[in-house]
Amino acid sequence: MKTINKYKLIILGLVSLCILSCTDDFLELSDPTSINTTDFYKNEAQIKEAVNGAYGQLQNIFDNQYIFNELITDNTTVQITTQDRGQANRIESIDFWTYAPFHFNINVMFEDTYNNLLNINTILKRIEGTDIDENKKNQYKGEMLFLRAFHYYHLTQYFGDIFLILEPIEDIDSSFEITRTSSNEVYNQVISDLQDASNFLPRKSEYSSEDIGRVPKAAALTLLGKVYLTVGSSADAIPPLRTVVDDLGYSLLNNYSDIFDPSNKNHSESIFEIQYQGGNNLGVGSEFAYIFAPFDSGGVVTGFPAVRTFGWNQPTNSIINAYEDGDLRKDVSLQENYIDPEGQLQEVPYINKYMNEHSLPGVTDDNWPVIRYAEAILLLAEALNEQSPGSNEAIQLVNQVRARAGLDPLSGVSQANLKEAILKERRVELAFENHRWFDLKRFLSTQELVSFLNAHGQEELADPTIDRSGVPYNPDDYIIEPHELIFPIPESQLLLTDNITQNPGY
Amino acid sequence: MKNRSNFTIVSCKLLLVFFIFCYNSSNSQNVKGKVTSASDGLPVPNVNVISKNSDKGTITDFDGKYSINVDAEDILIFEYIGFKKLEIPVNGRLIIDVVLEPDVSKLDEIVVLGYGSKRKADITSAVSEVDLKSLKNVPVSNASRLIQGQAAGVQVNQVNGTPGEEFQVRVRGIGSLGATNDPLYVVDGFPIGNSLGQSVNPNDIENITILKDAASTAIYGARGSNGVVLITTKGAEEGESKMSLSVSSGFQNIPDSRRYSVLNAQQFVQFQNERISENFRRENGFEPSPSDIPLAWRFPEQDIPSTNWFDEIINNTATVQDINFNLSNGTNKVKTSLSLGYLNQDGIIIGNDFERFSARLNTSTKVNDYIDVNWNLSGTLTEQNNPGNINNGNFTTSVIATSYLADPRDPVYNDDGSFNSYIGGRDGVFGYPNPVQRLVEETNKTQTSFFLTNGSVVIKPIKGLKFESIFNFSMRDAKNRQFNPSSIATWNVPPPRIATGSQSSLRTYNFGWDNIITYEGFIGDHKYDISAGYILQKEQFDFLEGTGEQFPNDDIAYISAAPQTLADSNSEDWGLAAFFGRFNYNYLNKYLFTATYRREGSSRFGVNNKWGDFPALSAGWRISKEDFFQKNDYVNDIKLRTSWGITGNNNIGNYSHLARLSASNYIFGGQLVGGQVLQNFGNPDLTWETSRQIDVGLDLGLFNNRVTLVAEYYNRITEDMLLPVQIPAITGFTTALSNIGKVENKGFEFAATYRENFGDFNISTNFNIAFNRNEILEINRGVDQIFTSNDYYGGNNIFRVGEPVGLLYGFVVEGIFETEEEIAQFPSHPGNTIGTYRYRDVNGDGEITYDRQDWDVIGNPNPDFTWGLNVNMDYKGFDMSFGFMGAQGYDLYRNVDHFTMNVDGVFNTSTDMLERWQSPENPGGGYWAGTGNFQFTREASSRFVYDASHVWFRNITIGYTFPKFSDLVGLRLYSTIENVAIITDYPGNNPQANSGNPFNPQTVTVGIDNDVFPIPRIYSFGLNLNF
Repeated sequence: MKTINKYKLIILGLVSLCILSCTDDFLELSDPTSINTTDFYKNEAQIKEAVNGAYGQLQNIFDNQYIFNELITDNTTVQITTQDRGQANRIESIDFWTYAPFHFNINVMFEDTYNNLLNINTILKRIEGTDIDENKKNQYKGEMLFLRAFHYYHLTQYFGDIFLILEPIEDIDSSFEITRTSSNEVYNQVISDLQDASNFLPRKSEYSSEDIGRVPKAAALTLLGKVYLTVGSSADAIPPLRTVVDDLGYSLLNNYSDIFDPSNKNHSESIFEIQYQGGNNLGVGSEFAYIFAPFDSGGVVTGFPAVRTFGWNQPTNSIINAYEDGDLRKDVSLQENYIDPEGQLQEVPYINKYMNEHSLPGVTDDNWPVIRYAEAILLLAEALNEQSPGSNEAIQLVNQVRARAGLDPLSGVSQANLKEAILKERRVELAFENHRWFDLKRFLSTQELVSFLNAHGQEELADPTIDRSGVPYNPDDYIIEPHELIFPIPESQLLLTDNITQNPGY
Repeated sequence: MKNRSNFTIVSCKLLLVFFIFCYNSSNSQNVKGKVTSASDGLPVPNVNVISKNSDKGTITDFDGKYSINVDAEDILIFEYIGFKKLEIPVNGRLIIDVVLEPDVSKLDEIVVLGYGSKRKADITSAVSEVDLKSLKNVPVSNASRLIQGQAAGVQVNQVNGTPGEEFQVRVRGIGSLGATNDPLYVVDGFPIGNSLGQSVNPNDIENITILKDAASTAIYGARGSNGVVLITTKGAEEGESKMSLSVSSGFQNIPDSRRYSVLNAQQFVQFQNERISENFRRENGFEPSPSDIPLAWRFPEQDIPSTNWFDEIINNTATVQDINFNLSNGTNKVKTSLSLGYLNQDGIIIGNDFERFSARLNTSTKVNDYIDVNWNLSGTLTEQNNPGNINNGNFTTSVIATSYLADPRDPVYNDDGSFNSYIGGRDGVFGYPNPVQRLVEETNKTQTSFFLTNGSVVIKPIKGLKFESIFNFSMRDAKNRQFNPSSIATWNVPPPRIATGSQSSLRTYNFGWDNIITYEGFIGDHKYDISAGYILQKEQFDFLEGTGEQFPNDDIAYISAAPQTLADSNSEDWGLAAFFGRFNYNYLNKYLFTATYRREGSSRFGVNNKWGDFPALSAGWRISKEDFFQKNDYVNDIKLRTSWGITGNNNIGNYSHLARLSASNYIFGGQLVGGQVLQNFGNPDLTWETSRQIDVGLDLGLFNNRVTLVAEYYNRITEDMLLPVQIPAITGFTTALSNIGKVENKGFEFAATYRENFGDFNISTNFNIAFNRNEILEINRGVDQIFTSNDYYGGNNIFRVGEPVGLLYGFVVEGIFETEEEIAQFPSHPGNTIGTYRYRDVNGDGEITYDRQDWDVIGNPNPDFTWGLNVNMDYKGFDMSFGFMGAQGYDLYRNVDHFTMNVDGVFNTSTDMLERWQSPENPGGGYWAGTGNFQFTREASSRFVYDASHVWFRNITIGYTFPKFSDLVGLRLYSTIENVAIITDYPGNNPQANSGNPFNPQTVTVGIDNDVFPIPRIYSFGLNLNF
């Protein structure tokens, strides 16, 4: 009996020992393959990584931005094929202005933008609690404020009144109560952010070689000028734009084609580009060449037949005809047709700016130009023209850009049509760089814009730029109504709470 | 002389008489008597009365009387179902009356329960036992097949026919929308997880018990809410050594009635011709002339060669072999059982196959009077080939989809015998890779090895006290290698393409340590036992994968041949710790009571909710033991029982409560720089799903337990369901994992068994049927519905308060617009022309809009009832068993129709296309429209929904056992058919399908059929040898 009792005691002892020591080992486990947010945003190395991460998300957003800034306008159209009707409710409905609240691409753009904003706002909040050197801190803040302003500028142009989130939302339940802020207030916030950013950011020349690609002061100033012009304060636009044009050391390149040459990235005309890298499989390459090459072009345009091409952003007759004779920019920007692998001529135009040699199929090295010096020049011209219509200084600026394009200076331009000339110059200079939609909205009034677009629509309906392979138009195609100048708020958001209201007309 | 002859004659006569006497007495005397029952004294007819020393036998008549000729030294055996077998030596008697004792041993049978066992008679909770007899000869490639159609309320569906694939098991309905719905599998006391996989060779299984209600599963705490399947493997019995060998071999096919039919080449040309003519007519207003039709479609009358791609991918010589060997040996000190098994099954689709080798050693040792040590070791090796992307449900990459959609005009081989590698891709038809070539040339090989061991030390220091320490360990290693050569086309792109290849390795370790102490005692007639236990378990997995890029050629199918390789890795773990206590009480087998309590902590739960409590109570009342209950011939046992308990579901991801970052890289200064972005919101309150269940049951034994009946009602409410609740995208994410919502499952279950002997003919059968109703009671936060997909294509489920889980949702087709007047008269959408679908205007605004406002419920994938029937019969040496199962009153959504009823002419189509509506004069079947448009035609709608009610004759086995020609060898031959026949209107191959949404693979889906791997019919023959 005693031995058995001893036995029992030993066992009980072992078991209790185990209970005390084992439990924690078993219950406190964390993911070995990822970092926990509570341990992050604490020192400079981590803030830098977070900032890099925010930039990294831009690649995804810019991959698709052409849909909402070029395709929707008179610049480009989708190549219709019988083989791929799956885009009928997606990009084609943007092209033809038949989008509805349930729209895949609009939904994704909305979600991706606010996801990037969450990371931006988190950095801006958590950086305050770190010990980083003041200059560096300001630089990071400046970069994030620029991106935030950039996003809200886009969001309000796309959707009108929009949700202005300036801090990461801690309590998810409260997010259901948030309502939309008026467009005017959003612009005020954008302007305020850009002013702060332009103070915080270093000049491009002040960045070290390993920081090339980060947002420079000029980017904030240029965007600030553009936003002032958007809200009609041309007087306020002039000082920041002058600083960019005169004082920050930028210049126009001699050859238009050099602007888009991947071996010449971040050159002296470039103010801000989205960085990509080809030639490897690290997941940071771009693929604009394949999206913009005509469908089924068999490698003739891209150089690699085995990778599918899409034909989703093709120049229209309208823009092809917009170039003046002798404009050196035309061939660089687009090509009107191609010879397919069987030797047949295919009358499908395509954007040529991003068609550059690359070594790996499907992975290109092209950066995306967001802001460049030529645009700053044209913005300044626009602002000066608004202040004093027909301003000579404005005409001089436009002529700088025209000269580089091999064109004669503007002649016979009156006060009335300098504005139109600037719009047209922007169109051909910045073709396919995602500027057209906002330019049209800024230059034309609502009624003018609706008539303008419908006229383009009628033109395409009567004589499509690209043969539609027998796929008929639908009755509503290419007809835009005034309420459709802004997108519907995604249906998925409206279903969540009554505090989210839809834009009128949808 | 006279005296001598007299003596001779007399001697001979005497000898003769003596011989006659000897003959008579050494051969037979007539014995008769009457057999009565000990319980009521009444005669028992049909009792077998058998002579032990000869092969004579008879049965008792209606009065219980028998008469048999046997030797005086013979022994008579009396046996009959429901009574204990009796052996009585004749001892020269001529009249032997016998009283038979009722046999309640079925009720004395011990049933394995969670962390313990109980006599069947004492069970107070809802537990089903599985009859393994009827399936013992079916070549089963995954043990989950064994529980199909066996237990009331346990719905087991073969969701695809891939050899080796696990079946989907649902106990009492779908209770969870965000965590798993699979039960917990426990092998020899070791909870191995929510998936059985290949961890157990089906032939090693001794019995399976399924725990259905909370009272029985609460002891498994946060893993018990979906039921628990307890598997016990075969041990040895005390006695002589026994060896058995069974070998079976068979072949497979897919019957014509279960094949999908598409157009042949001539019909395809005809369809294209008609389609183009129709479009021309509509656009131009006059008939097209031949030159208006493209040359390819201009001559539909021409007889052209045709390829039936689905027939081409079927392996007509698919065989299956199953070999099992068992050696068991038992003394009163040591018992060992060794089993070896080998299964080889070719898939019915070319190139897909499954091979398994398994070995198991179970030992139990009685070290001394106080200590027992039991140890089981088992290992399984499997190798599988799965080329062709069959089960991913993606219609651009699955070879099954390709076989339906590829151009039928193209041959499989070129004239020189090489593969025709690009099918279609001209004349407006989509291009596909050759599905046969893919199955032959692609590699997708998975090798797994699974090692499982568990052992226990059981110490019984004094009478009634038991202490057990149980160790469990399992290790699973899965390696996969894939290679897709450059010779294979991709969708719409002819070869060559860039070859791709990958290799991956996943290793999982799981170990546990349970310590349990039990004391059994009694106070007079009050018997009780108390247990307490401490459970620890931990699992870890490590994953490594390498991908090869830019393979220069197809020569070597390993990533070492690629000039550039990328790698990825992952590692996760979880742990749990728990205490439990249990109290069982039994008064004279009349009043029964059990209480259990488990307190469990898990690494998966958020900081604020690490520990949970899972109590349960159950009680039983054996009415038939009460004094007021009159003994009668009909009902011999009535037990009323009820239970209540709380269990949980902890399948919520290992780290979901943590807010984590993930990589987001960028380029600065021309160099790759690392970045981190937020991956998800954390939730420190995250906790398990809670399931509360009550159960009321009645167990009846009739006619001495020759018939048993079970009737049951249950109500199970799952709350705090883990759901990625949709939140406003302005927060930065669109979903956040939270515990919200409530689902109710309630219903009735009935089960009946019947056993009878009619002389040499024995029959036993069991039948079960269950009616389950589920309803979503609450979602939360003012949201009362969840859509599972953000896409309008493909099967869409909606989860809505007040309705069953997973209703199919979409546009509702009312008919086809036949005239312009109809278009003006009924609500229509932009693009409606004659010949397009007319949808219902659900929101009544007069038009059909491209959003969910005009969507409605189009089907319910939850059956009204499910049932199963198994019958085992034997007569002399012959035996036969068969099984049926069925489900009634439910719908499935067929995604294949989205493609095969597409009227754009880019795919080959179903033969249903011949029935499409073409004009008022030519309406076909009136169901399918012949005209489509870019919007509204392919979106989710009621025309893709079919009734999948079915009666399935699952298996039949016929065998013959040869009479023993020696004491050493017993031989039985048998023949089996698996998947014999199915009665259903469902047009697909498999009415039990449930695949994902091919357009949105991550979403939760119910009731969607993507035409994945078809289910074959298997014919096999085999023999059993017993030594």
